[in-house]
Amino acid sequence: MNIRKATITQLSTSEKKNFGLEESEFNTMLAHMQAGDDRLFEKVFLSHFKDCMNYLKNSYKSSQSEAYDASMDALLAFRKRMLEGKVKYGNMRFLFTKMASQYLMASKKKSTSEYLEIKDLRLDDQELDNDVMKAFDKAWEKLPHENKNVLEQFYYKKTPLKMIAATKNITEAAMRKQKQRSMEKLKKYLLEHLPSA
Amino acid sequence: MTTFKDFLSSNSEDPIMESYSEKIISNKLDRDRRKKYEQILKEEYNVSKEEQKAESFSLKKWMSIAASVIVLAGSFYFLNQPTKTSPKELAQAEIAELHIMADQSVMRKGAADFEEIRKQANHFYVNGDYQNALEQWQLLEADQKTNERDYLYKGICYLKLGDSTRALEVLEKIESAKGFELEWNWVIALAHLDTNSTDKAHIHLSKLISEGKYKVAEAKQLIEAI
Repeated sequence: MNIRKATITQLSTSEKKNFGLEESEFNTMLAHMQAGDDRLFEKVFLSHFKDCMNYLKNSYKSSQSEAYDASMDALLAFRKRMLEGKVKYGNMRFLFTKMASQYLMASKKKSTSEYLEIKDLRLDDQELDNDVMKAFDKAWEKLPHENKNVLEQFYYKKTPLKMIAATKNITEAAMRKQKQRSMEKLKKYLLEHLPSA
Repeated sequence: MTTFKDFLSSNSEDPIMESYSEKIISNKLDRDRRKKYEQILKEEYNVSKEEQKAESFSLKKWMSIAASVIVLAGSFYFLNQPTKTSPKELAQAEIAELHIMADQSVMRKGAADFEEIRKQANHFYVNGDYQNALEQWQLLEADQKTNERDYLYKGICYLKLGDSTRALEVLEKIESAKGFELEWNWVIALAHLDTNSTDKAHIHLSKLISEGKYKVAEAKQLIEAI
């Protein structure tokens, strides 16, 4: 795919609003993402990451690290929303910076009802201390690819079991069992790596 | 409230436990993705969380060095005038940074044959091969197919190749550059500075400042240096 790179004055209004993408390019990017290929998404969004940070720094007088974290949170959340079909071609630049602004506000504890909508998107690390996260990393690394794939498809990419089963040419019931076994295996490895276990 | 212990001990698929599973797996995969993005941002875009910290450290370091230099200068008292970066040096530093604009070059529409030459020129230009880019644009110029944007990019190529006089000759042909007046003002200002024509550079930099949209901080810095 030809990734368009243009000075701001050479883009149409809709392209300016959508990180230089035409609607067809946006649809292609989305199709690639849904097929598990994020390369184009990463090129487009990471190349605009600094712009978003600068916007936060200029508009909210935030520090470099605050702007970085808020932009990163927004990037991860935006990606998820795209995969869920909640982001349409229109004004992605505005949506993305708005989302980053909301994360920044939330991080500055200025959270009021107007920012509550992003709570479901935030990573809630507080419940998981460092030891647990390290154990989880090790357990995940140890988990066979097939098991990881099932858990990732179902819990992270939110692909229905029926669809995962179809791609593997097995029944939904067999897929459910495979998912259960994968989760059991993950928990077993987790217990092996937890310091208190 | 579901806890991590509940998660470990439960085998059920009730919605609460499923929601916790989703949360903990998403947390792990998001952390991995975050690390990957952090690495790309750092390596490919020179963006990091601690950039500002590094800058302030650098500033402190430079201040310490500057203080040491002043003390030494005082001791020997023959260095009684502070050194000042010349406008030409500042312009050359900015010319070195012009690749940002080049990286954002776009293929444009036109007659098929000329479009192919223009594509080649843009290709060389985007990849920093300014000599070859210029040769392609010369072909277009020979056929009188050069447009205003080509002249702008040609001007940048000459600047990159250190020929500010030729850059000015090209850039002065497009005084009414529609759609990229700001970029043109910036590039021609750098060319004037590089040829020590500070008065002319001042005019273009002032335009950028009055427009307030593009390279404003850089223009102010250069005007101060002038």
